[in-house]
Amino acid sequence: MKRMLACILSLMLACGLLAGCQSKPAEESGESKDGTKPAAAAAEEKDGEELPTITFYHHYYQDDAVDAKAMRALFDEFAEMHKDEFIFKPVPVEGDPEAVYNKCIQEIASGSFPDIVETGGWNVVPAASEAGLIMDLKPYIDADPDFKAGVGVNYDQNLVDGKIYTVREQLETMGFWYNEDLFNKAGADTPDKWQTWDDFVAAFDKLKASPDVKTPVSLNQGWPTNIMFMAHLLGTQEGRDFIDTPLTTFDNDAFKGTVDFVAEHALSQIDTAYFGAADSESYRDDFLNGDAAMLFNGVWEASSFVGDGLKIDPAVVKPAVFPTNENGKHAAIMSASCGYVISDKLSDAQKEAAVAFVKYMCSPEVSERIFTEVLAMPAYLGLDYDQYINDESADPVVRKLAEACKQCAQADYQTCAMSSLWGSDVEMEIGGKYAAMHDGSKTADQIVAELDETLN
Amino acid sequence: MSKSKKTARRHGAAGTILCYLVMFIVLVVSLYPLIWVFISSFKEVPGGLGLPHPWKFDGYISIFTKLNIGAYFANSLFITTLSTAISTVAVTMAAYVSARMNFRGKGLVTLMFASTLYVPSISISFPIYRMMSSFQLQDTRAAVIFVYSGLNIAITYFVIRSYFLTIPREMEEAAQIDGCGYSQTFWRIIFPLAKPGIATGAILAFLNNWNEFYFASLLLTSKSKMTIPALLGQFKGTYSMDRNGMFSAIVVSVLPTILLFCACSKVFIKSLTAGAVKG
Amino acid sequence: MLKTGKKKNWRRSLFILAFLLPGMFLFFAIYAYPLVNIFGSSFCEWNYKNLLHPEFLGWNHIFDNFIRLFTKDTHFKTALINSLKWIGLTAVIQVPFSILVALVLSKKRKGWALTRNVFLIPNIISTAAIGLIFLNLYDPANGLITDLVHLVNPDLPLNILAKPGTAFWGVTFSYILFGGTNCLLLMSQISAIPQELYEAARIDGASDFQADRRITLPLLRPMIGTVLVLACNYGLLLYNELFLLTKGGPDGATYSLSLYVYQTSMGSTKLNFALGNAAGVIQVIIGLVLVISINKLLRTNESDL
Repeated sequence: MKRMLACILSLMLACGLLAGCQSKPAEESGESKDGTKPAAAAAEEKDGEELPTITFYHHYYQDDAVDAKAMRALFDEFAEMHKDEFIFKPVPVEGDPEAVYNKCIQEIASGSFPDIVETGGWNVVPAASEAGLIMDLKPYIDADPDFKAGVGVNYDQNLVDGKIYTVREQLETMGFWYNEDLFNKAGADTPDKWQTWDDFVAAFDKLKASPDVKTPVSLNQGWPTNIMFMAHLLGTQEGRDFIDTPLTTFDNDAFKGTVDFVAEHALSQIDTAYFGAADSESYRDDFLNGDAAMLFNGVWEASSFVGDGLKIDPAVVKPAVFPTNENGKHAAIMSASCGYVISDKLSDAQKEAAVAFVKYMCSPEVSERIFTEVLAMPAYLGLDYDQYINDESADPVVRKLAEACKQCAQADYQTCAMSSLWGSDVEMEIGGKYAAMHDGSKTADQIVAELDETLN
Repeated sequence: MSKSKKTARRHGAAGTILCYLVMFIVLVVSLYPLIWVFISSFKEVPGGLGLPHPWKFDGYISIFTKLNIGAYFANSLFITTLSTAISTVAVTMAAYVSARMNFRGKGLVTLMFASTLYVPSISISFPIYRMMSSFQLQDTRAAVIFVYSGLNIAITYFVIRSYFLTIPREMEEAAQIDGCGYSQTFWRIIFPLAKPGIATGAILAFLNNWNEFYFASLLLTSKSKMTIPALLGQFKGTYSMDRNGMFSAIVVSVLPTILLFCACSKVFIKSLTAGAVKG
Repeated sequence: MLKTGKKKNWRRSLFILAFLLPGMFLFFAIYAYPLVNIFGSSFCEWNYKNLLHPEFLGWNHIFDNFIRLFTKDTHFKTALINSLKWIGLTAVIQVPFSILVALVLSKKRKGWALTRNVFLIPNIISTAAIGLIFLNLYDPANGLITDLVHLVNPDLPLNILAKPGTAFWGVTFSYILFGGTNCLLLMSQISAIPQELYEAARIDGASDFQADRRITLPLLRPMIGTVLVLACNYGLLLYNELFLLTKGGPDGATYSLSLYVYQTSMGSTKLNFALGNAAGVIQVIIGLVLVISINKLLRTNESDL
């Protein structure tokens, strides 16, 4: 036993030394010349004229994730396409979008900004724009109709004081998914037949009463509940007005109405076992296990409905959008959030190159690949989803995704996600109140009063 | 005291049962989460009680075939060993002086070391990030080694200092009477005696550095330089879809640490018992 | 010793200086500026609007950040109370448990080395991994804890991390029993106690238990002090487990001071570093009071601190 352990130790030490030696020389040759430049880029610079260099930090760092691989391929292709004009250097930042965000904040605090970053929804714009470090993309978008079509809802959602500091090529689009089989077993109307939220309530009650359905929906104290919350707020004119006015107080009848509705007809109706903590992912498992009849999550969930270990038949899983209080009208959430942000300190040539990259990411060709390979909804709204829905030979995941995207894109009312609208702080505070709404320990008025306290 | 032998033996018998009960509780408390995760990682749907049926290795297969775990491990070993060595040497010297000599501002030294425990890491991150940028040390292992050297000085200081305090003062006085200078006394007499304490402090620093991630993710960007804690991030997004993969990932991310520990535990014991001989 | 000449005094000072230098270098290079910075900026306005240039609040409003913490901020209040609770719980549960285990293992009964090593394992693997493991242990659908409770009472609805009351204890039990490093520290000290003392006690007819009480524990006092400091600090600085398990939820019920500092400064779009650092100042003060009072309590024979 002891000898074995000694063997393992010496083996590991040897491996460590070997790996250390291997990586050392490569790194020195790269770094000796200039900071972080890899050898290849440095060599390219040596022969020929000085090409502008742009370093691009992004969060698609995972070796083995389908979306990360597809995105990295897109970045590399762009670099390859323009290798004679400029050097485009994508750098994956190990450790979630949060690591990119942290890096940006550090840079801002020392008075600079990375050439171009993709923050994956983490909002660096307020701090960076206050410091005057980032570039307004609006003139470029206005000058190029194709670019404008490519950025889609970014044009409105990311407009701050007449400027557009960020564009994200993929949207966070949320309706919900349902298990048709469970609806039928419970004798409930499926969501495609719903006219108003009343039909939701009727179906919910039937699902709850049915012995075949373990829970109508599985939720947690954050994301999935936020989706329903925003969708319900979107269902009335007063709610939409509340969404459109800058947030100063939660003391609003539409908001209180939504608090009451979500508490009364969803949160208080589900078992504790189906109501997870804020970051719990079990609401998804519960749907994929066939326990829950509905899943409030984005269109990207389409890719979960394939694979061997699946407990539910993918054929019974259907996408849907939320009802409103007007007969037959629908609501969905479409969020552009924070994506590409470009430094204002770049030279003109570098700026051109960086803008060219964002244009490329929003172009119809790349949008199509983001849809079929990354399996996300692109911001570009010119994509013909019917083409995929009707194509029998297409990947079943893509077809399902197309169906979901089409419904959301065609919904009568749309808004962005809670975090994009009010910021992640408010999102977290509202999420905190779901526990009280679940066990009925606080009234809507109390909740509103507590939320208002956190606003100032 | 003629019956001393008998009572000692009887106490021993009762003591044995108590001892083994405590040891059993310790084993259960420390191992149940790991064993549960380990067993679950072979289940198709991890979780629940009982053994896997059927055994499923898919998670492990995809992790070992698709990710380069060796590089992470090598980086961790390199960065952690070096930074631990630096901080242990620096702290040992300061701890000796403050434990053994009287000088003005002695309390202040301890206060300074103690205060480092409570500085939030975000506050440290700003100046460090700026410093590394101005020295052109972004994305180098040197930057991380430097930060890690200073990160645990408080804990190692307390541990090593309290060990120095237990060494009888006569040892030094005898040495000084023999004509040893201050540094000679330290290296020849005190250092060998204090080895167990120093080793313990070093182990604590090593463990903390080994598992640190905030500064690693802030100062390093290249995958080729990343340390073990980053592995968990690699897994989290990629395999969160299937729980089997997630559980395998947890096991894989903690396994190198446990193996390294098992391999080194002999060295630990040796250094820890070294003090007992001399008394 | 006191009668040394001037030359010796000079050499002595040089020696002290030289030996303090490396440690002081690390302190000044890494901590000095942040320490000044958190104290200074807690009297400033410093958030996303002026990340580059913190602004002094003015003498009339100098304590505004602190006033806000103690009067308006509900999360800070829970964070402060929770952190104090965790300090207390660690001192009352983790430390005595570690002492007991160290005493038992120092008897070197069969399997003591294995037990000590196993006890260390939860401390050597990263807190991030521990957090993730406990997240799964507490899972309402597949978690071990839920399954065990349901063996006894299948109808009890259980979702530990989702309820403010149970979430606190869920977090507490993700770290409080793991006293492996404490135990290691204590054992290293026990092994340094001269065996002759025990032999003498045995001749006097003392049992193992009595020997522990009369010899080991008094001699362990300085190390128990160190262990108390380290363990209570862990309670005060609790962060990683929280970040993975609850992020301070539900409804802010499991905030700790460290988590509050992070969430107010980095985790919020407002990036309110001034307010975060004001909480950081309170964290530093509590910590130092803790260290000094534990030292005073347990090392009365020591002159400094």
